[in-house]
Amino acid sequence: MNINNDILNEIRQAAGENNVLQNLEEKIPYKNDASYMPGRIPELVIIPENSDQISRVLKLCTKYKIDVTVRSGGTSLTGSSVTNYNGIIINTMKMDKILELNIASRYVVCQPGVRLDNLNEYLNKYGFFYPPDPASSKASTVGGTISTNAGGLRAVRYGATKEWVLGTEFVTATGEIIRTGEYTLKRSAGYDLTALIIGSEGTLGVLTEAILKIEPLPEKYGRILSFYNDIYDVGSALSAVKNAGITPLIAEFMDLKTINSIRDKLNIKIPDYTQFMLMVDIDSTEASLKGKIENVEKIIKNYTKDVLTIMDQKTMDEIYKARKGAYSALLNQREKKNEIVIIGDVIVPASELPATLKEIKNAVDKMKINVSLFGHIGDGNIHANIFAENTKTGLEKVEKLQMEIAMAAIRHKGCVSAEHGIGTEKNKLLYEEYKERNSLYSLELMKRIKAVFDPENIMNRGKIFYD
Amino acid sequence: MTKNQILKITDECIKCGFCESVCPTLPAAGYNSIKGARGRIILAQFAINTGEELQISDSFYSCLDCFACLQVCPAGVNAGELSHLMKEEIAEKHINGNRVDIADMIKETILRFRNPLGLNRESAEWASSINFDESDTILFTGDMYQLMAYTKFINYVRKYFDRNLFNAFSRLISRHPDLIKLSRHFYDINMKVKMENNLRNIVRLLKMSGVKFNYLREDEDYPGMFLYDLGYINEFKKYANNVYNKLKKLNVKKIICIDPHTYDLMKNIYPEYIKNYDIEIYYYTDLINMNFEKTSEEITVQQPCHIVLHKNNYRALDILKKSANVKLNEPENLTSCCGGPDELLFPEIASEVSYKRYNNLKQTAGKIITICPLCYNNLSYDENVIDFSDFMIKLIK
Ligand SMILES: Cc1cc2nc3c(=O)[nH]c(=O)nc-3n(C[C@H](O)[C@H](O)[C@H](O)COP(=O)(O)OP(=O)(O)OC[C@H]3O[C@@H](n4cnc5c(N)ncnc54)[C@H](O)[C@@H]3O)c2cc1C
Ligand code: SF4
Ligand code: SF4
Repeated sequence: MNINNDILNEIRQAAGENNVLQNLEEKIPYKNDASYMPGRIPELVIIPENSDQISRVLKLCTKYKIDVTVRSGGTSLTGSSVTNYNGIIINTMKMDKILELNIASRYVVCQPGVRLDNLNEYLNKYGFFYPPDPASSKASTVGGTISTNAGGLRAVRYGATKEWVLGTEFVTATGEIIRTGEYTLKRSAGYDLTALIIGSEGTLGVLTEAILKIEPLPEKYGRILSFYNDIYDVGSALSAVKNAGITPLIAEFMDLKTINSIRDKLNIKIPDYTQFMLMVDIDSTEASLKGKIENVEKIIKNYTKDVLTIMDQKTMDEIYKARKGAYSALLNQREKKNEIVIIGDVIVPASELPATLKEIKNAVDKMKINVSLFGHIGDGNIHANIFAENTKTGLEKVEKLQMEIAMAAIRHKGCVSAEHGIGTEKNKLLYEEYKERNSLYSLELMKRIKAVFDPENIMNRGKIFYD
Repeated sequence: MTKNQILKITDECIKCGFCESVCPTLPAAGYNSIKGARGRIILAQFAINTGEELQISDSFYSCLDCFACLQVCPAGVNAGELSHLMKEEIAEKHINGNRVDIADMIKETILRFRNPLGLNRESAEWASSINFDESDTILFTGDMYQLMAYTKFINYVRKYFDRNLFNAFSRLISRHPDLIKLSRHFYDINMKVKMENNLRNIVRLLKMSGVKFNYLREDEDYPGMFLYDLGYINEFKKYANNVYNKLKKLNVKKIICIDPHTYDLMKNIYPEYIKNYDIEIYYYTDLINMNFEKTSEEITVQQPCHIVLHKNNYRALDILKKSANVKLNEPENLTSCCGGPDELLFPEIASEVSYKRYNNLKQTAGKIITICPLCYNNLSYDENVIDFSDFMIKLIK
């Protein structure tokens, strides 16, 4: 529905005069997030300070059937934080406070606009950290990462965001302010609404507070780099480490193109034959780390002769930073000016990795598209970064390849989205996944649940579900 | 040409938002994206591509030119540089009918008096009792230390004016630039005393280090920073050439700058606009060559953006590290802006940025050392904020 002057005045009153942007020039920046999916310039942008304002605004939006998109860091790679309709954007960045830290009970309470790096900078001072660590952690926020169930480099050990959220304060589309979960590490108390909110991509309402679990910083760890010319061996080496009962702190792989994009930052000698590199972090107590590392080195050496172990913290930090910047660094490998790099994101069970990687590589070779591969191999997450011309034909090719890769993941018991969410980019793929599994009713149930939170279907319409 | 340069920058951007996370003006402006790095890029791209009538000046004039965005951008995009080009578009071509009255006023007064406030005589008063050497090396103040007392006062008064009234006042001065000279009566007395002392401290440090140098006193021209920063590039080019020609006529071969803004301008920007530029530019801290007492005191340092983030070098930090227990708030090659460049046009943003930065520094150490008059002016919320020259002078053996 169009926002006429009367409605506008009501919204301004509900949100607080200073929290509403209505000039065209102020709304233009909200037409983009980090994805290549086009968004629209919203009719209004609201930057509220508290959940009461959000509640009042959502009540009006439900009453007048106004489309709402929630947004925090705007780093979404799937178009989930831009609007596709004539609606408003609620930006929760002004709610950027860390409200409480309780070390004894191992939790921190945050508002949605807190950026992950800022949260960890704060926690590190106390010897603690919040494990979810997407490569976008500099800019992505508590609100956004909960809503996409973000993963990241440390997910192999610590799991994705869903493992770290104890509870939330949440405003439903109808404006009800609810609390889900609480401060305790365990609860057996009815439906787990917190779990429902995690990964819901702003389709149910607005997250306004989160109670997050925290961990002490690992005592000591070392990093083992190893080099391969066959992708199959990468998967096999890691499987062997895991079969030996060792869960690495992180386990990442990257192909030669990715290595080349960050080579100067890695600052290590890479053997000439290298097509792939595996990076594994092993942690332990100070006393037993050396032995554990030697053990892993021995296992990996069954698959490659070149293994490099790094224990120096500064070098490790530099390599970690370089890996986190890999997607961005690939931009410099673009051959043509109008090329974009689209990051794919599928996942399979770890045991299916070697075969899936091989199939993906075959699909890429067959379609003759420039692709570079890296990923959180430890948890089976593969990012195929597709270089494509930003033209109709270029994007059609991307869509075709994305579908091939998705189907490979589905065949190997995996999922079309590991950590970036669905947004508008993958709603068709998600549909295909459930269709392949003969479970389209799951999507139907999701829609029904959405209708309970959001009877007028105003929240992030067009995201997740393929019409 | 500028339009192409702008699109070249915006087209490199992948909209990842990393720059927003370090851009000081974004949270200070209540997360209104047009006052953040990514928003500036998206807005510029839209404005240039569509040519639509848009009021865009606030977005680009509020940029602090600190280059914090560049340090984190994976695509090497500099939203600070982009903002500068957009200001150039706005100022030179008045694109889309955007005008910035205060900027126009400042331009007029600089062109008329070679000093933003027409206070050439007052600017040299601090040195009235100092003898300088006959030398082809000169100390060049760029008027920065001197102007702080007046800016502080103007901002104080501004809080009681509404923006329209202030703009009307600016337009009046643009038409009658002589009126600006009235500002000689309006300054913050404490700041004036402090800044003039600091100027004398700097001279003393240099003299004690055996540096021989002259000072042009009333003949020193304002270097034209505001013209450059506010986007009046054609005027700046002409003006900078005049400043340079005058210096050459006076046979100046080396310049000692004492603030990072003038230093960056004369070292890096002047050569872009002046043919065969051959004056050597030094930062005063790099010429200090003497022994200081050591103190066990914990200090932190507000490193200037125009040195650290604009990839210039100086020795100030090394000198401080040798003399005191320095605890930095961030890695040595990074810093965070004091908000100073927004003081005149966006005082609310400037004070939000400066107060946040002050509190961060305060948590790091009891004393905060500044190495730029703008930083001092903006961060001196208490007595424990001290100019580098003031701190070092007390450690002379
Ligand atoms: C360079 C780069 C690297 C990346 N690397 C990774 C990675 O390693 N792992 C990973 O998982 N992701 C990664 N991402 C993707 C992205 O950072 C994540 O999806 C992140 O979770 C988005 O967080 P945000 O704060 O930017 O949210 P936004 O982009 O603002 O929003 C994301 C979704 O959350 C919803 N949302 C936001 N705030 C709220 C709220 N308060 N209440 C309800 N819903 C809300 C939005 O509606 C949207 O659906 C990367 C992105 C970039 C640009
Ligand atoms: S960090 Fe660079 S690429 Fe990312 S949004 Fe900012 S300017 Fe664009
Ligand atoms: S130069 Fe500074 S103020 Fe300007 S956009 Fe970059 S970070 Fe923001």
